Amino acid sequence: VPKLPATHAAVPAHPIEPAAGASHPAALLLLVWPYAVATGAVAASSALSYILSNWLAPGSLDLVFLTGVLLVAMSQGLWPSLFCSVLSYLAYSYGFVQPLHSFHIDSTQDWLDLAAFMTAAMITGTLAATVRSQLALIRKTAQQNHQLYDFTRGIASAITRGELAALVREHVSATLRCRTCMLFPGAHNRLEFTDDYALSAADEAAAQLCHEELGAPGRRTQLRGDGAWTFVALASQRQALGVLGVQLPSVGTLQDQNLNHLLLAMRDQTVVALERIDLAARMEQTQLLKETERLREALLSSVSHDLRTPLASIIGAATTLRDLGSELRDSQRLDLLDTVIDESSRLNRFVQNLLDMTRIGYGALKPRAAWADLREIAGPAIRSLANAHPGHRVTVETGDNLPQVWTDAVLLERVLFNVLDNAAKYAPASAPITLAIHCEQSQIIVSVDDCGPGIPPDEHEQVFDMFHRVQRGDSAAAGTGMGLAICRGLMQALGGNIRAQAGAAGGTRMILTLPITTELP
Amino acid sequence: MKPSQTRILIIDDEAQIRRFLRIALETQGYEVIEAASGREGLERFAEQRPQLVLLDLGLPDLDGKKVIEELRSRSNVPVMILSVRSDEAEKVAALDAGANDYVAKPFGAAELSARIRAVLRAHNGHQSSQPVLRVGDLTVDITRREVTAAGRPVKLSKKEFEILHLLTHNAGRVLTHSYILHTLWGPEHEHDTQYLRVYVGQLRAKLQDDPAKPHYIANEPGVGYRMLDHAV
Repeated sequence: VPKLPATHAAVPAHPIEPAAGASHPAALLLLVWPYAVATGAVAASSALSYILSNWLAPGSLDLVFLTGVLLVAMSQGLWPSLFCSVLSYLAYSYGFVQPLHSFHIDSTQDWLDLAAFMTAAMITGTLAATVRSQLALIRKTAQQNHQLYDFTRGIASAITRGELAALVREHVSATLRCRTCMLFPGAHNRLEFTDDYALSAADEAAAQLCHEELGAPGRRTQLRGDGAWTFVALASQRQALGVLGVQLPSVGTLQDQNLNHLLLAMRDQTVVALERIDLAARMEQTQLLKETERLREALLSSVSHDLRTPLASIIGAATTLRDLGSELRDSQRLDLLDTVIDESSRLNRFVQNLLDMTRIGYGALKPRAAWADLREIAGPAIRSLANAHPGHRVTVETGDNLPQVWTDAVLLERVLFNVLDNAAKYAPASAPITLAIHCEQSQIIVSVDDCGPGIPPDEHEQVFDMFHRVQRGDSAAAGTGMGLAICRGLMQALGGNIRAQAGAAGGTRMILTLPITTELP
Repeated sequence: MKPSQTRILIIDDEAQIRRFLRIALETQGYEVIEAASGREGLERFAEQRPQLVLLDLGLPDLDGKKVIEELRSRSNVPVMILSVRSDEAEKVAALDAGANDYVAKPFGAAELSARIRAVLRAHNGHQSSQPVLRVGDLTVDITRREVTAAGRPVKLSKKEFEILHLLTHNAGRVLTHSYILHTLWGPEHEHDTQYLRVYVGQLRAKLQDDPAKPHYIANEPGVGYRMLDHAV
């Protein structure tokens, strides 16, 4: 059990508390000031009465003094107003009641007047002072509500526990004007202490105890540590989530009901926010696991499909050659050999894509740049396409004076082939694929237009996601859905980018941008 | 029936697969029709009435199972699945939808030919009307309920005989667990694979068939059983 605090050394008065043991010069001034104001008010009333006495009967002048008392009560509170009424009585009886210039009062009428004046002054003063203190209380409550509202709104934006802790500490520090700490449990439900807070061993023990013992609902929720720290358990209905600590400069601060309520209200909001963050984190974790699982399945099914399809053709063709060789015509034998060769190259391209993907994934892609002419890079890509899709035609449009580009020709050729291959897969063989290269400011822009069915606008970005195509099931044209993702990875490695948009002729336009000279990333 | 009269429809979106299948099948005397999609396949089927359909499960337009159902609604033509999927559940679903057998890609030409012959033979049912079924050295006399294996008589219980009869009748074809259970035990026992495993175990013991190197009944893990047809 932690020790309860021993006697505390004299602490400077907290600004929020009324200055009780005023020894400070400023505090003394603060104490004397209302009475000075009261004295001034009596002097002003006397002067005004002296002037007014030329026209008014002396019996009416008490109203002037009464107004002074009222003003003092409104502005300075009960005791100054009482002081003011006594002083007013003296001034009135000395200066305006017969006999003048003495406190002696003759007539019974005057006595009654004075008694009425005193009574009226005291009642008015008391009432006005009550209104004043209530007004002050309302102002203070409003300010606290405002702070609490700010606090709630502030912590609603916190996404991580760290952010939340920073916001909560900032608000609590500003409200209670004290140091704060926020502690969260780590392994074995032990709170994790950092050196930033510089808690003593006893404080740490108190915080831990607070976390373990007071977290349960219905228990006392505050515990004082050693170094003037008070710990508040942050516990929901279900679990203890952590501890909030405040290092108050004086013992009395939390005896202020309002501040105590404010602290507890902030605690409740913090608990709600903590639970929300906890839940969000857990949901995110689940989501991440699901996503990883989905990608893994997509990869497996895609690799299995794309590796086995060419293999099936190769094995089928080769076994046919072996088993039926003698019965085959020469043209059939050549056909089968073509199948073996074509499918082997397709397999080779697929393996190349897998390797590229892995290298992009591991960030191991190192472009080797040299000056290159884009037309010379497009050539081999178009020839590879003619091998893979013999039916498709590619028309090339290039602007004049194409500058040389500082880039990795091998990687760029692979991008171009993948984009052309993609166009050929989806577009009918009858319509040509257009490859246009032109220069715009400091960029080279390559666009590839096909006359295929096009991509829905909302999928223009998604097609670059790994396995986007596969996610739609195994019913689309052959391919893994890796091609465009690899293109984007490669283009980014080359310092450029690739995007899709609707084509001029209704199909899809793929746009590749490439800086002419930059340091490759 | 001679192979030269047999027309085979290939439904596969992979041009290269169709190319080698056409060469291999034509060389063996079959007539070949091709289709690159499920819808085209159904059209070709309606036009040309092939005697066998080779169907890829992963088609661009229709799900392979949907194609089987469409085919089954029109005829009982034997359907053989070609699929790169190694997913057993997928095969079982296709077989249950009405496919007669499957070959997993990649496959060799000889394996495919053997399967095609077995499916055609079972379908054309040149054994079904006979009172005695013969598969290799196994004979099953249906009317007298007598079985001999390698010339040696084998005494079987009623259920064991029914299983053997069903498998022999469909020799060379894979029968799914649920098909066998449904046929012999009724629909309520379709999922009691354990039953079947016990009976087949006993049957194998009586036939002196080594499960590790089966001579008669081969196990297709996760799918079902197949009576090995050494004749094809």
